[in-house]
Amino acid sequence: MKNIFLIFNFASMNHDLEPSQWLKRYGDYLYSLAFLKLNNKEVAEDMVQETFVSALKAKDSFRKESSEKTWLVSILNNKIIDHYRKKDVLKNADSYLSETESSFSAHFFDQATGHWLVDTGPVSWTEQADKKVDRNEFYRILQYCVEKMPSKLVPVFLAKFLEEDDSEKICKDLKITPSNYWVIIHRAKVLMRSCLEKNWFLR
Amino acid sequence: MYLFKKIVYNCKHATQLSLKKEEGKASFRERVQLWYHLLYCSFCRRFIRQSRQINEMGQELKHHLQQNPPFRLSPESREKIRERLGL
Repeated sequence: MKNIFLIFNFASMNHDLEPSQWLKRYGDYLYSLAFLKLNNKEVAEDMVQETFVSALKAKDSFRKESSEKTWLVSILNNKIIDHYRKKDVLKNADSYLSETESSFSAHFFDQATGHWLVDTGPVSWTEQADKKVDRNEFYRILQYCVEKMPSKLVPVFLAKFLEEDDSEKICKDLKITPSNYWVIIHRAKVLMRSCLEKNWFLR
Repeated sequence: MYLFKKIVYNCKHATQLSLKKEEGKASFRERVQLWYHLLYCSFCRRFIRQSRQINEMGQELKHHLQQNPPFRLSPESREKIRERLGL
C-alpha cells in the first residue's frame, strides 16, 4: 500500500507537462471555473478549448516551479479577463451603480438612519449538525448565490472570492475605478451574505 | 465630533469601511470611524465575522471545484478539444 502512495507522489511531483492528460485531468475543473464566471455554456467551452490550445503553443514558457494545473488556470483566467474586456461587461459601471443604488440600499438599510433593516440585517449563523455533513449541498447553494448575483458584480466578486486577486489587479484587469471597486465589493458581499443566510443558515 | 456623527448610526457606510479594512486599504481616519461605530453596533460586528467566513468559503469552493467539478464538458466539446490538440 505504501508503495502505491510513493508512486502517486512521484507522479504529482513530476513537473513536466503532459498535454495528453490535460483534458482528462483538468477539463471539467477548468470548465466549472469558466462556467461559474461566465454563466454561459458555449462561451465557457470555448474558453477551455482556447486555454488548451494556447497552453500547447506556449509549452516552452512553462516554469517548472509552478504546477501544471496552476499554470493552466492562470491561462484560463487571462482568457476570461480578455473576454470580459471584449464584451465590455463593466462598461458604464458608474451609471449602472448609481441607477441601482437606491433599490439596493432600500432593501438592506433604513433610509433615514443608514442602520440595518430588521428583516435583512445580519443574524447569527448556526449550522445544524446534519447540515455540516452535506457539503455538496452547501457548495450547490454557494454556486446558486453566485448565479443569482447581478451580472455586473460577478467578475469583480469572483476575482476576489475565488482567485484572491487584490484590488489593484482587479481594477486594472476590468478597467474600473477604485471607488467603483469598493461599491461593487460591498454590494456583492451584502448580497452574498444575505443569500447564504436565507438559503442555508436559516433554512 | 463631525467625524463620528456621520458614521455612528450608518451601517451601510460602516460595512463599506470594514471591507476596505479587510483588504488593508482603510485610512487611519476610516479605521477610527469604524472602530467607533463597532463599539455600539453588534450587527456590523456580526457582518465582519461573516464576511471573513465568506472569504474562507471562496477557497473551499475553489478546492471543491477541483476535487469534484460540478459542471462537465459535453462529449461534443471534448471531441472538439481532442481534435484541436491533435490527440
